[in-house]
Amino acid sequence: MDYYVAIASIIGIHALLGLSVYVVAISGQMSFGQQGFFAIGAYLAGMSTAMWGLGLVPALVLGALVAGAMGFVVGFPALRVRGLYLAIATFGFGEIVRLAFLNVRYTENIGGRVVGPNGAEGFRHVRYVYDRGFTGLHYLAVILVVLVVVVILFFLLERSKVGAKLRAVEEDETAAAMIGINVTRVKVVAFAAAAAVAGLGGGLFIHYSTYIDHDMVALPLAIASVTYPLLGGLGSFVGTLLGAIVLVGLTEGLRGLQGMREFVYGGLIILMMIFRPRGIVDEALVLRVKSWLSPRAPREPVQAP
Amino acid sequence: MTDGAILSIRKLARHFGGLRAVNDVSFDVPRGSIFALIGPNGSGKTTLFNVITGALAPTAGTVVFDGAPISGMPTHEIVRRGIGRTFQNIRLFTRMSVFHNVWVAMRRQPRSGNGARSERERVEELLALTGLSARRDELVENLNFGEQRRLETARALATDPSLLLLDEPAAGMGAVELARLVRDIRRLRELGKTIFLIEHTMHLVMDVADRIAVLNFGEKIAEGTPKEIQADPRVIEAYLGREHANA
Ligand SMILES: Nc1ncnc2c1ncn2[C@@H]1O[C@H](COP(=O)(O)OP(=O)(O)OP(=O)(O)O)[C@@H](O)[C@H]1O
Ligand SMILES: [Mg+2]
Repeated sequence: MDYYVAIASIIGIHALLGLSVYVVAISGQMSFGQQGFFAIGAYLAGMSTAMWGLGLVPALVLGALVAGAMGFVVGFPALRVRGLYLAIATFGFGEIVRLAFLNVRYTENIGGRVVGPNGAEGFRHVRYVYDRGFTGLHYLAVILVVLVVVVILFFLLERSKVGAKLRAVEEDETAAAMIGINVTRVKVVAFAAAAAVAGLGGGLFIHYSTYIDHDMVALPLAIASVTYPLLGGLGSFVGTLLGAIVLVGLTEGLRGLQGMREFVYGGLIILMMIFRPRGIVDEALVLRVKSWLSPRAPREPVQAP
Repeated sequence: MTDGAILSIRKLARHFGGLRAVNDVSFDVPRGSIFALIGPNGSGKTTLFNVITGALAPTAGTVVFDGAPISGMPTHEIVRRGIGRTFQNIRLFTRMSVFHNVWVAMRRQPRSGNGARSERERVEELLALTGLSARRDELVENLNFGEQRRLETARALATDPSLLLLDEPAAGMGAVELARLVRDIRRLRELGKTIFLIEHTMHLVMDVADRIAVLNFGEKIAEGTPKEIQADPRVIEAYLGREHANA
């Protein structure tokens, strides 16, 4: 039972990370640095409950806001570069954050435990949730509630004009500008929102695991977070959710795969690039499902007036 | 700026290194007119559109639109002031449906009571105007060439431009589509738009344009009514090769 609760919790947290990459991707960018925002959210939210006496909800919100603000600040310079250069620049940002937390020491002695970011030791004893009598199952419910809220926001985004503008920018910046879209603003806002979602995931994570260290927010997490949307598909956020469920389920469930995760993910990305570049749930599939669901439009061509 | 000109180009230049793609070009596009820009391949027509829309910065000179200088402004700001454009090499959003291509471009209307039509209704109107209603749920890749060009026009119209720039709207069209294009262009003018088009199809230009400017090697070599242009020896000289090729 605990085992399945653990897998479900990790799926929920990784789904947020995947959704963060998804937002960046559908505005035409690729980020290998969302784990940096995840780390910022985790450390901030952890300090909030373990050291500053905040409750869980304000701690999660604070972690997300600070990560989002960082996304805004990083977004402007980062978005001047594209494609591979952007991937490298964002990964560089992730590494800077990781190395910063490897070196930052800001601890307090609370009840005989060293609490707070403690360099290479990581940030231990973030026990707010379990100290209040939550079980793993309770906390899984918290994770799922947060995920559902985020998913509702994504659902609304996909239906809104803002979502369509993101996709317009993704496909053709020149054409997007020519219909009145402020391309820079769209990209920066998307990047900041994505950073906030990653930060939210980080805050949930540290309260789930009770600790984090720099090793946990390195390259493997970057690879995992881009694999969910790239495999699941860029046609709808549903693809990212499916990607996270299948991939986390697969790698956590099949013990034999543990050591080969990066290998498997890398291979899947390459297969996708060859056979289905927009992932499983791509735009064409979304359009087909939509027309099944609403058979209102006449199928046969109508004579134009 | 001449009174009654919606667009004034003054001593405009755009160089690429040593190449003078557009050089010292001046003319006015009268409000409410159909104005055509013609010239041989590579004479700088598209470059001029790129400078007008802010996709490229001018090397020298100014563009005045609706009485205000717009050179140096970002494209989205120029669009908001009322310039729309289609592209020579069609640039639609291919992963969106026909409907969404227009919807995403729809300018927000000021709320004006309950008489105001909804945004969806206005999208449907533009699709009807361009003859695409039956294709509304298709992906762009399922449209033929002429339909894609019309969709680009519908998308540009969604931004509610007062000046519409069309870059070779007839390229690749058959006779039936061409006839429709002529009707559409006239219809748009009746709706109060000023049309500024680049075209190679001579009989179309001579048929619809009120005024024509001619570019050759980046410089304006002639300007006038279709009659004047047809009789201009410099134009005939610049076009001699093409006219034979197109016959
Ligand atoms: N971004 C650019 N960088 C460098 N050179 C360019 C650029 N854009 C256009 N040119 C050059 O400027 C010249 C004019 O090109 P332009 O596209 O404006 O011609 P055009 O009149 O539209 O031709 P066509 O009828 O073939 O469309 C060409 O020699 C072209 O190669
Ligand atoms: Mg051209």
